[in-house]
Amino acid sequence: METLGTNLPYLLRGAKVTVLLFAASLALGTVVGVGAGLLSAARHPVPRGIVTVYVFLTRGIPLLVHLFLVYYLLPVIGLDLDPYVGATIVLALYIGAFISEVTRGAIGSVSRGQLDAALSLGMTRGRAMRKIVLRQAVRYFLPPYIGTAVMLVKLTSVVSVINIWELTLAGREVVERTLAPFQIFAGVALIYFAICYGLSLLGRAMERRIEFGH
Amino acid sequence: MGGYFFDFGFIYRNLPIFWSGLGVTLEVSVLAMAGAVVGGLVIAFGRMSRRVWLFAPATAYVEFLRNTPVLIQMFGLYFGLAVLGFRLSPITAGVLALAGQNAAYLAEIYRAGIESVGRRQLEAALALGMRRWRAMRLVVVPIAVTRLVAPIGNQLVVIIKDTSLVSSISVYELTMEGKRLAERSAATYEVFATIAVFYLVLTSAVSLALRFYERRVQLIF
Repeated sequence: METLGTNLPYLLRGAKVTVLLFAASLALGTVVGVGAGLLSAARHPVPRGIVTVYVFLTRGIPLLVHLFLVYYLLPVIGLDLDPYVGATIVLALYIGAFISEVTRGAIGSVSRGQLDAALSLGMTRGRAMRKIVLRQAVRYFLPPYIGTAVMLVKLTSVVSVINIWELTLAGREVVERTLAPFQIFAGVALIYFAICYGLSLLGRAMERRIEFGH
Repeated sequence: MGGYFFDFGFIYRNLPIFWSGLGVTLEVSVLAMAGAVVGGLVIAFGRMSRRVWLFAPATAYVEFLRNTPVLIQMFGLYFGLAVLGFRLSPITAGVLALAGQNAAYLAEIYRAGIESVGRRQLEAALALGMRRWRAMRLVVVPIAVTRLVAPIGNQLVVIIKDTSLVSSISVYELTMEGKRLAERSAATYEVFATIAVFYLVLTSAVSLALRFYERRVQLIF
C-alpha cells in the first residue's frame, strides 16, 4: 500500500484532468444532445433525418475508432488542434448522441393527451411544448441523463489510448515506474468509483427534489 | 498527386488483414456476450435474494463493476493478476473484463424486467396451482423476456463496441490490426474509415436481428 500512498498525489492530479475533461464534454454534449433530441421531435422530416443519421453513426462505432479517425484526419486536413480540445469535442459529440436519445425518450414519455389538451386550450404549439410537455419531460429526463453522465466519466478513460494524459494514463505511467500494477490499478479504480458513485448519489438527490416540486 | 482522396485500392489489397482482425473481434464478442448473458442471470438472482450473504456480494459486484471503466478492469486482470501469479492471456483477460462488466449491467436489466412483471402475475399462476419454480419458468420469465429484448440488445451492441478496447492489452482484433496497418502506411484515414464501416455493419446486424426477434416474440405473447 506504500507505493499507492506515495503516488496518490500524482494520480489525483490525473483525476483532476479526468473531471475537467468530463465536465467540459458533458456541458458541450448536453447542448448538442438536447438540441438533437428536440429536433427529433420536429414535424419536418429533414431535421429528424439528420438526427437519425447522427445517432446511428455515433452509436454504431466504438469511441476509440472515432478518436483514431479524428486523430489521423486532423493533420490530413491541416488543422492543428490541441489534443485536449479535440478529445473534448469527440467525447461531447459521442455522448451527445446518447443524450439525444434520452431527450427523445423523455419527450415521448409525456402522454400525447397533454399536448392535445394544451392545444385545445388555445396555446400555440411552441408554447404548449415549452409550458406543458417539456416541463413534465424533465422528470423523465433526469434519471437516464445521470446514467449517461456516469457512462461519460468512464469513457474519458479511453482517451488515454491516444496518449492524452488523465487518470488512466497517469495510472499506467505509475505502473511502469513502480511495477505494482495490482495496487495502482485498484487505486485508480477506486478513484473512478468515487467520482461515478458520487455522481449517482447527486443525481438521486436531485430527482427527489424535483419530485417534491410536483 | 498532392491532394487526398479515398484510396480504395489500398483497402482492397489489405482486405485479408481486416478479415483476420474481424475474426478476432467476433471471437471476443461472442465469448464476452455468452459470459455476460449467463453471468448476469446468476448475479440477478443474487440481487433478488432475501438472503443477505447472496444479496450483499451481488450488490457490491454490480455497484463496483458499473462504476469503474472497463479499461481499468482489463488492465487489472491482465497486468494486475500477473504479478499475483495468475498469468492470463490477453484474450482471456479481455473477454473476462467485458463479460464481467456487462454481466453487472445485464443483471440489473433482468432484475428490472422480472420485477416489472410483478407479483400479481406470479400470484395468479400460483393460484392456478402451479409450483413457484414452474410459475417463474412458464409465466414470469417469458413475459419478462419480451420486455427485455431491446435493452439486452443495446447491451450486446455495447459489448461489440467495447471489444475495440482489448487492443490496448495487445489483442490483434479489428482496431489493433487497423492501427498497425495505419502506422506502416500513409493511408491512415482510409483504414479507420473502413474499420468504422465494419463496426457499423456488425452493430447494425445485431440490432436488426434483435428487433426482428422482438417483433416475433410480441406476436406470440
